[in-house]
Amino acid sequence: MRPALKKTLVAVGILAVGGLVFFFKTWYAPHRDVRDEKAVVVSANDLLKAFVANEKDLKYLDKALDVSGIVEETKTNQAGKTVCLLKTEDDFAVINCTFKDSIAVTAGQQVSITGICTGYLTGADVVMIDCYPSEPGKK
Amino acid sequence: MKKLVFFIAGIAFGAASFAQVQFTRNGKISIFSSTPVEDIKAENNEVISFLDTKKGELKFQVLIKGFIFPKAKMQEHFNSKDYMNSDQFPQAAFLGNIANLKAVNFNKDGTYKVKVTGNLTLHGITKPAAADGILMIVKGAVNAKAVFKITREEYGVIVPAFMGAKIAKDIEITVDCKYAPKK
Repeated sequence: MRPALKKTLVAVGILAVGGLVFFFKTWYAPHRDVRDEKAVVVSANDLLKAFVANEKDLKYLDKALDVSGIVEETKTNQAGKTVCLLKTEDDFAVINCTFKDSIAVTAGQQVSITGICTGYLTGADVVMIDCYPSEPGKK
Repeated sequence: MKKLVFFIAGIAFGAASFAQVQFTRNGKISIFSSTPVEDIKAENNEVISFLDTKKGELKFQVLIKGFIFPKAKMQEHFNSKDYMNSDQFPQAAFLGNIANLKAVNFNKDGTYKVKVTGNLTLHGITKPAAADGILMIVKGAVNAKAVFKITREEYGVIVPAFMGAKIAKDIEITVDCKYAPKK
């Protein structure tokens, strides 16, 4: 085999393998883990107020948030995950937090929860998913 | 005679005690696309929904960013400008009615077939939508299930040409809400 052809084949091979590795790494990349991110610290009330003022608030939307508040209720959702509702100044609206793993929290407890904010349901809740209890050292 | 009095009192109490407005903050909506290349399913468990059992009104709202896909990359595509553009259109909503409300007795346990009609807002576009569903009533608790079949292009979701073979034109939206009386 001519040296030039050999070099070309090796280059094509490297590019093909590199391309495949890149494709699989991108396509099978894991879901984001909120524990790897620096969370924005906010109270339950302030978070709701920001979304009521602007439903498409980009300061909090899709961000990792560390939200503090008082637990109104805990329950299990239809997928078997623990849900914790944080009180706000609005009688109806809550910060609706779905936990990644089951945890023990009780109504009336003051808590800080870190999760991903998926947005605001008009006239109702701010939603957080993939939540964990906040780690104080990370604030 | 005594039995009859108790029976009538029971019915009256049942009718009065059944809460008119049923509510959940954690209903479930799944979306499903099927093509010969790939089946794609995503789920959202933070659906807020109201069901007015007297008027037959049904409402639900859901956040687009709350749909969880098996792969992170699928989720990223779904939310991007080329698909649902969830920064611009963060919510989807349905507001409608149970067309055959008279067929449902909320005071009697059972499974009732219902027809739901109303308006579905998705990707900033509102269009009439209808679905067949069932209401299951067990010990006064209501579970509603319905399947909407929509054509994504009618809601302006035109995916990039190279993804066209992977994402179906007709999408199934399955609603599954377990309600509790609204306090």
